Order: sequence, then structure tokens, then C-alpha cells
Amino acid sequence: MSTEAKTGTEHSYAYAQPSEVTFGPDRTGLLLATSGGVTSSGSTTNPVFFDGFLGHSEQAATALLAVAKVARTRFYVPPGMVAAMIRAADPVVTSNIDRLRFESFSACCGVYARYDVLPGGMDGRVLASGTTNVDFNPPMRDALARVAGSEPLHLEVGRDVSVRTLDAAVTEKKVPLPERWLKGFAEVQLVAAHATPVFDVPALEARRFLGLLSSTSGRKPVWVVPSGRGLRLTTRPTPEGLALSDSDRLKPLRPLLRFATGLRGYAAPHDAQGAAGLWELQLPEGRLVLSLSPESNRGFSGEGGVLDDLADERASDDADLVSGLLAFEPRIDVPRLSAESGLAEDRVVRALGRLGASGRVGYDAAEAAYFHRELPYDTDRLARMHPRLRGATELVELGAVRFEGDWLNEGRAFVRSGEIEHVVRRTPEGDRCTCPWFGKHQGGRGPCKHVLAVRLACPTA
Amino acid sequence: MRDPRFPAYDELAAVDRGEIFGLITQHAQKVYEATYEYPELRDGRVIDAIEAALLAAVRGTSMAPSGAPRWLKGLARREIVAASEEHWSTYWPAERFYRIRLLERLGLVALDVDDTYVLAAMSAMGRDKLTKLRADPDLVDRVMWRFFEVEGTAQVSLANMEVHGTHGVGRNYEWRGVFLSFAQDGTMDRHRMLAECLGSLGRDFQPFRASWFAGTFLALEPTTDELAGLQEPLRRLLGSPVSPTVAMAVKQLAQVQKAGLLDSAETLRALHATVLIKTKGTAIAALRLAKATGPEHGPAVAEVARTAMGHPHPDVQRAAAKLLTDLGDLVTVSDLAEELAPSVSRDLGLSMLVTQPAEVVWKQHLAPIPQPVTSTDLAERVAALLEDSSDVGELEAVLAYVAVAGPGDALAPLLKRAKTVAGRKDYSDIPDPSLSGQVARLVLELLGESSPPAAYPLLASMRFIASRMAEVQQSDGPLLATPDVPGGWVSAEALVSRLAANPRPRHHDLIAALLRLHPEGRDRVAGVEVPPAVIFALDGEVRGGREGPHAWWVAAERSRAPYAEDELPWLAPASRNSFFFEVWTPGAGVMPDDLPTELGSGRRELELAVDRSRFLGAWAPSMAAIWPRDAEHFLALSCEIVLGHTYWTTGAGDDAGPVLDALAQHPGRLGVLAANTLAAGLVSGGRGLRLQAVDVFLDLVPTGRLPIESLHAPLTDYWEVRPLNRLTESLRGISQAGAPEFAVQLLTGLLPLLPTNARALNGLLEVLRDETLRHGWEVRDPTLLAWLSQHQGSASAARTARLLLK
Repeated sequence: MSTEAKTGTEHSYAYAQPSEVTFGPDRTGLLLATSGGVTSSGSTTNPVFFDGFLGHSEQAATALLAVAKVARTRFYVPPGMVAAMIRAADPVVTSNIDRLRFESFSACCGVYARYDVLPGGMDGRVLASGTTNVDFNPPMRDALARVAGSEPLHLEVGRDVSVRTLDAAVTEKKVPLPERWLKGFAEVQLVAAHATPVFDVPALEARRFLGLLSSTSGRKPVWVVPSGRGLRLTTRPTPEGLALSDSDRLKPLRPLLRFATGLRGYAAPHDAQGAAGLWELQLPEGRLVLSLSPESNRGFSGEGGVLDDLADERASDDADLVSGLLAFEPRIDVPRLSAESGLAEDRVVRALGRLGASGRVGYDAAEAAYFHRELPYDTDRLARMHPRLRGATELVELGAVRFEGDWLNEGRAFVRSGEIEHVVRRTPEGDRCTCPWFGKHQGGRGPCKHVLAVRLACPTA
Repeated sequence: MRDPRFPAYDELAAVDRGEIFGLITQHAQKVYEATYEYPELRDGRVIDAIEAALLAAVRGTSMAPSGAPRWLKGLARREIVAASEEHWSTYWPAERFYRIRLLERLGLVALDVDDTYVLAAMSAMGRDKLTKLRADPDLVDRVMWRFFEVEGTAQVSLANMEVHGTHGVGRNYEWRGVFLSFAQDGTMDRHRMLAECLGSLGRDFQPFRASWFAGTFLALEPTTDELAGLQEPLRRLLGSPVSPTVAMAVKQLAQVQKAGLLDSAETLRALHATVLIKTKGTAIAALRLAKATGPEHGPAVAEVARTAMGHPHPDVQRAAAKLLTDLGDLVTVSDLAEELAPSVSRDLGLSMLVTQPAEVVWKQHLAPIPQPVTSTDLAERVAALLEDSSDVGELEAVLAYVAVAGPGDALAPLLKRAKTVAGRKDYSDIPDPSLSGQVARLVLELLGESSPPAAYPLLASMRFIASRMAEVQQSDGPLLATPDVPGGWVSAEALVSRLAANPRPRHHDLIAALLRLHPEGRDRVAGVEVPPAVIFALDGEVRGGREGPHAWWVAAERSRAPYAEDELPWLAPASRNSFFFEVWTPGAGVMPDDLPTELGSGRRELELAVDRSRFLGAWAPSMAAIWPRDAEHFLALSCEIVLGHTYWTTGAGDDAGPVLDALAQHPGRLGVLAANTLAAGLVSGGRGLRLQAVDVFLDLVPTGRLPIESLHAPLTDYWEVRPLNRLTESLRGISQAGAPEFAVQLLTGLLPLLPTNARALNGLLEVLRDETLRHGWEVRDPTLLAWLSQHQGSASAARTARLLLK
């Protein structure tokens, strides 16, 4: 639940009890307290998703701590923010029928982490499917760091509150969640959906590369390229490489290197100025994924890669239709959705993109597929218009767009913005504009508001 | 000890709280309700009024009791927040916490001991902490254990106060002594303090801030028995992401192990994370600890050693392999032979697969021919240049178009932006001399708009570029200097044909074209009707006297040959062990704008470079493109930025990357300055710049553009001021990129020039050994062999040298 406060929008957590780790003579137990979210039955306050065992307990504990660490970290501190007091959002867990996914998003909006516990890595009762917040309080994190060995870890995601004793206090806290954080968390999925594999190296090479990787806090990107059996860095932009800005943002992978079985990299469409990248550390019956924004001082929310989908009104209707067919699948089957909805597969994919921007699906690059999860935040805020799209809509409403020639056939359009009339041109490489935003980013951060206005004014575009 | 302007707790303890509230209301209510020009003044004035009320209470002034003013708690909270955010060595935070703490002790306000409160107490206790805290034992209980849970900020942290709180204005602000005193006199429990230190080290605190807790733990001088009791939290630190924390934990556990008190099984399980830590010394220490647990734990020790075999450093691999060998696990060592560094495999007597480097066709990436601008894309491309004018090809293409097409309304959408860019000023209100500003002025001129006054660029090269841009509108003839050959050259055919269409060339443009004239193909256009200076440039003959401006003839001469030996700029380190380098030039006086290749005279000092670098920015590629014939010209103006890269603290170093990029693409003569610039990049203190220098090396050295021998002297000159381990990293990068033979060649020539006692020499020798073993090469160079044989003693470099001689 979220409340508008003077300082911004806050998200309220209400846990029936704190999360805890218990060390017994026979087994170690991890209770993850839950708060809010959605299950296959609808909205809920303290859902109960799982009661069973996780294999590779030390690996699981380390991975969960890595996810929690990302949530608590501001990898980039803007100049002037000398006393950054971080009140971090808690990680999010999704029960996807046969697997659990733990997600978090950094306070700087530039790093996304997800730990997937795959089907072979869990053994127990999946009590419900859905998404919720999970408490990672400091004592629980301290205790989680003590989990060692290979004995299975007893995991409860949520506990039936009806058995709670009367004197047990509800743990409540409020955390400010800026709009850009919320949108970035949702939109990072779209980046993953457009990324392609660039390398896949064995564990030894992963350890060597990440082990030797020097701390480069500079935000100017370098490129990680395959070299022999391993990886190397170059400063030359290349579509065969994975852009990396500020190598410190990969630190959450390091504690898991000893468990790793391999490392895969996926790159967003090439941009010589830097592009987002996915780092997927493969683990026994699991994987830890880090998505890094193109530059450490750029959050995912400003990328605008989703604007094409959001500006497509038809995709909005399609998204409504498709969302009704989702049931927390671990791997969304596009042909099945296409058959059930009667929409062509490309329209289903666009609808999923729109749902991704709204925080309602995630993307698993390893499976090359979307998965259903509903971020447990105020979905109205996520559905609110992107500032650039809002600006474009205003331009259209003001009648600021006029066309010259056949727009669809490399025509031109003119968009009046204040005293200036910008020229938008349709080219085989994409729409281009004469505004400073386009001049600076050349489309690398999505379309400018003038291009969007033209598309809105000419829906057949 | 108390603030002299503020009453003490004891003076007020017996006063009725209701009366104090009444006095506060009487003194402070109107102050609170007053209007202030600056709202932030309100709280200070109210605090002063509260102080007056408390002093009145001390004096025994009576007042009818009342309740707490409704604003009091908010005021207290704001003061605590302010105290937690301000720098601890300033006066205000100290006073702030003292005043609010007094109100709290008197029960006038109730505050939560949250992180902000803890930071305020940490920052605002001021000096004489022991006295203050002993007078306020409740605060010790409430706050001091919380210090172990709060990391702090860039402004306020225990580590920050420890480092800066022992001298200067911050003297006596440090905290460690307070904790040690309290542990000694029993005010705080010593054992709990030890445990809390370890707990803090496990809390993901930033390394610098974590260091305070490690230092305090060691300062408490725990006994072996105490360490044995704390071995579980110590074991947890073995997986810490903070290297010094891990090193400390390993050392303490080793002490426990020596006393026979270690839980070996648990420790061995935790050591898997430690043996992969980047710091090789700690990883090796962890292997030693594993080994020390004894033969009864053999299988678990072997597991740890097997994990360590994945460490990237050869020394750790070697130690792990030796441990496995000692344990009799030869199979694992043999199985992993291909994964080990070649030198490790050889030392272990394992068979290795010798591989030859893949065939790579190296080529220099020259600047491409600019894509012509059309009326359709003009505005978009100029819009991009207004934001970033560092693409010299784009700039040339735009200039070529507007020179012919003239002004038009196509640029109208850029009017507002051009005005903004042209009107930029720096912090001292001086007009911005950036290249984007020049582009903006051109746009405004083309649109018939006036533009704000331009700043005077510092360097003649910049002024030359600006002047050429400013004269574009003087005629509608085509520009002469637009490159039509990769590398920024102008072909002789293009120059002649353009001159035919533009018989009255623009002054600076003709100079630019002559300087860019490609050396080949000039004879194919002899005998054409062009200015005499152009004829001279084409065939080297002067017919009928030197007609035309002097600058044309200078450019024509420069187009025929790079600087002569006696014209070359040279580089002189100001002193040994210094980061200060100077470029000297043999010219004379300040050069006019139309002689861009003439360098003026004398020493170009670092200070000048600092000023200059503020302006270099996007100018660098255009400056490098002025004279494709000789890179030494451009580097005379810019190489100090790379040479002094580690010296820059802000901003200036950002230009080092563009300078290296320009060097990598330069098609002309590469001389001493080029070699020094590349060498400085390879050993730069900036990792990003080193990485870039490796790419530049691959552009220039394997392609034969820069002789590898030219790098020997500068690298030899730098070894005392630039640690050799940086060069080791760069050479490994060169090898990984597929050019190991060049890394070996460089070392073959360089090593004999270095003293055998140079620091970090062993890294270079290991690269040489690894690459020769990997590819089945032998060290045969007699000079290198002689130098290797000079190594004596047991130093690691001497051992590696002996192995290379085998």
C-alpha cells in the first residue's frame, strides 16, 4: 500500500512478524515474512507461498544476501548528495508455480538483481502463486550470513497469520519510493527482453575475469568481449561486446563465484555511448542475474525504450486482454496466449512489453521468455504516464503536429513546441528530430516527445 | 564540562518541569511565531530563547506551570537531523546536540534513538567526550552500543573522525580512545565490544568506514582465549567483500589455530570463499591456515585447495597445487593443468599444450570519409553538433554543406538552442570558448541572428579552427579542406577540382586544405591553374615568386614534409621522480591564427596545460585533424594531459581519453611525443586510461605505425614514478587481445634497460615467462639473457629470472 506524503510517495510494509533464521540441531530454517502483493486469488496482505526445502543452502543464503544488498545500495551517488540516508525497498519474491524468483532494485535505479531458484533447487509445497514483498531485517541478514554447508535449508515464504500469538507485534515501516525508482524497476524488464547473448564462459573463466576485474568507478563504459576461452576488456565500442560502466556494480556477483558453473552476458542493442547489459551467473539449480544500466549515473527509468510500446494505444487494449489470461506462469507461452486471445503473436509480444512497463511481467533472458509477476506496489503509479509521453500527448492535444507529404513513406512532420517548430523525419533507421534531446542522444534513450507526438497524431505510423 | 552559554543538567534537575515549560513558552513562543526573512533563522532564534528560559530557571525565576509547546519536539528533531548531517569538526553540530540532549535529559522532549540520533551524537559530542559521557551515563547505554550498527556517511563516521580527528581543527574528536577507556574501566563490557566490532565488520559497511571497527578490535588486544571464543563471528568474516577485513580474520584465526583451539571443520568450510579473494597474500594465508589444520582434515583441506586452483593469480595457483601435491592429490593437479598459468604448470612439471597465437590482421582505424550532408538531414546533424562537437567528420560535412548552400530556413528549429549554447559562460562569467559554442555562432550567423561575444580560445590551433568556421559564409564556393580520403586527408585531385570551382578560396580554408593534402597522387595533377602556393605543394617548385599570403606558403611547405629534426618539440621531465613533464618547442613568439602548425616558443608548463585542458574538450579531434602529416604537432599541445594524468584531481584528466583516441587515429608521423604519450597511457594511474592505451598500442604497434623500440626509453624513464605493476597489467591485456608476441618483444627490449632491483619487476618477468611458455618461444636475445643472469639472491624476480634462463 502506498500513501502520498509531502516528501513524495511512500510505500508501507506491514509484516505479521519479522523474517528470521533459526538454527536447530537438525536443520536451519528461514522464514521470510511477507507483506502485500497479489496472488492468483487476488490482492492479499500476508501471502503464504512456499513451505519446503532449498538445496544448496549456503549458495541460496549468499544469493539472497546479494539480492538484499542490491536493494540497499546506491551504486552511484550524485554530486551534492553527501549524506545519502538510504531507506531501501525490500526485495520482492514471486512464486512462479515451479520456481521462486527474488528480485530487488538498487536505490540509484541503475542495478537490478534477481535470484531464481529453479525447479531442481526446491523441494516442498508451493502453497500459492503470486508476488509479494519480503522482509530482510538486519538481524535476519546477519543470521543468514551464518548459513553454511550443503544441508537443505528449510524455507517458509510467508506463514499463516492465524497461528500468530496475540502479543506478536506487526512490523511496519514506510519507505519513500520515487516514481523513477518504481518505473525503472518495471522497465528494466523491457531491457532484458531486447537483449541478446554475447558470451557464455565456464566457471573458471568467470572467476578469473571477475576476480581480476579492477574497480573502475568511472561511468564511461568499457566493453567486455570474448577472448579465447575467457573474457577481456576493451575501450572500443563493439556490438560483439557487453558494455560495462563502473565495474563495482558487479560486486554482488563475487560472493557467489565459488558456487558458479558459468557466466553469461546479454547486451541490449548496441550503442557506442553504452548500452544496458545483463550478467547471468549460473549456479547449481539457480541463477543470479544482474542488469546494469548503460552508465552508472543513468537509471533505467530514463531510458525511454518502452515509450514505443506505451504510445501504442492498440497495445493498451491488447495488454488488458492478455493480462486476464496470465496465471503466474514461470514461462509465458506466447503461442498459447495468441491462441487464447485471438491476437497475432507480435501483438501479444507488444502487449507483454506494455505489461512489463507496468510491472506486471518480468523477463527471463535465460528462458528467452516473459514470466508473470505483479510488482507489489501501487499499480496506478506505474500506469501513470511517462513524462515524455505526457509531453507528447499535450502537444497532440494542442494541435502542434502537422504533416508534410506521405509520412509513412519517408515523409516529414512538424511539431511546434513553444516558439520553435521541430522537424521530425521518418527514415529507414528510425524517426529523427531536430530537438536538443535527439541531438544529444540520437535515439539511444528512446524517442523524444516530438517523435512520440507524431506517432500519436498518426496512429497508423 | 559544559557549554559556557548553556546551563548544566544538575542546575535544572530539581526545577519543576511545568515551570520550565512555562518559561520556555514565555521566552520562545513569540520568537517562534515571528516572521523571518530567511525561515532557516527561526530555529536558531528559538533555541537562543530556550537558552534564556533555562538560564532564568537556574536563577530561580518562577513561572506558572504549563504544558510543552507544540513546536518543541519538531524543533528538537530538526536540530538532531542538522547535527547528523553537518561536518563533525564544525562548531554548530556540537552545540546542537548538547542543547537538545539537555532538553531530553530534563524530560522536556522524548526522542527515538534512531540512526539519525546516533549520527548526531557521533558528530556532535565535540571534545572531552569522556567527561561528558561520564556525566551522562544514560547516554552511554542508549547510544554507544548503537554506534556499532550505524555505518555513518561521507560527512560523519567513526573512521572519518579517527583519521581526521587527531590533528588540526579536528583534534580530540576521535572516538576510539573513548571506547578503549570504557572497556578498560568496565563502563562498557569488553567482551561485548569485541563481538560488536566483528558484528560491524560483517555489516556490509563501506571499506573505509569498516576499517575503524577492525582497528578498534585490534586495539583492544584480544587474548587468544577471547579469539577462540569469537571464532564463529571471525569465520563469518572470511567471506567479507572487504579485503582487509578478511585478512584480519585469517590472521586472528591462525592465532587460534596455533593455540589448538580452532574448530577446523567449520573453518575449512568457510575458507572456500577466502581462497578466491583478489588479494593474493590473503588467499595464500588462507591456504596456509587450511594446511595447518592438520592431516586429519586432509579431504576438507584438499577441497579448499581445489577451490583455490581457480584463483587468477599464479602464486595462489602454485600454493594450491603444492598443497594438493603434498596431500597426494596429483590427479586434480594434473586434470587442471590446462587451466593453470603456464609458469605454474611448468613449475609443477605438468605437460602443457603449446598454442600459437591466432593470426590477426592488425590495422589502424583511420577516421572515415565524412558522409555528405543533405538539405534533409542538415538540421538534425547540426543539432547533434550543438550537443557534442567532438566528431570532426560531422563538423567537416556540415561546413562543406553550408559553405555551398548558404543560409536557409532549414536551421530555424535550432535557433533557440543555438542561442543557449552560444550564450554559455563559465563560472567566472567568461563566455564559453567551446567548439559547440563556435557551431552555435555559425548557426546564428546563418540565420541572420546576432550572437554573444565569443571567448578568445587559448591556443592558435583552436583560433585557426574558429576562424575557418567564421569565414564559411564569405563566398558560396566549395570548401577546399573537406577530407575525401580516410584519415582526414584531402586528395590532390579533389583540391584542384574544388579550386577550379572556387578560384578565390577562403584564406583559412586554403591553409587547412594544404595541410591536409595527401602525400600521394600529387604528380597526377601537375600543370593546373591554381595559386602558386598550391603548385608548390603539389610539385615542390616555386614559379614566379612566392605570391599570396605568407601563411599559404608555410602551409604548402608543411604539406610536403613533417617537422624537420631541428623543428621538433621535445619532452623533458622536470626532475626525476616527478610527475611534471614539459614540452619544449624551438619556435619564436606567439603565433598568428593562420599559422596553426607553428608552435611558438619555449616551455609549455603543466600549469598552462591545466588551463588549456579546461578548454580542450571537444576541440581535441579537430586539433588533431589540422595536420595529418605529423602527430607531434597535436601532441605538443596535448600530450601533457596524458603524461600528467595521475596528477589531475578533477576534470582535466577527462581530456586524456580524447587525446589518446586522436593519437590512435592519427595517420601522420609518430615521434617521440607519440611514444611518450602511449607509454604514459600504458602505465597511467587511471585503470580506464591504461585499458584505452592497450587499444591504442594494438592500433599503432602491430601495424608498424609506431616502432616498439620507441617505447623502451619512455617506459624506462617512468619506472620510478609509475609502478611497474601497471605495465604488467597492460602487457597482460595486450597478450589477451591476441598480440602476445608484441608484449614479449616489448619486454625483451625494455627489461635490460631496467635496474635489476626495480620494484614490482617480477610481474613483468612472469608475463614474459607465461607468454614464452604458452607459445613455445624461447628467450634468445643476448642482451636480455645477460641481464637475466645478473639477478642474484632469493627475491621473487631473481627466481623468475633464473627460471627464464633454464
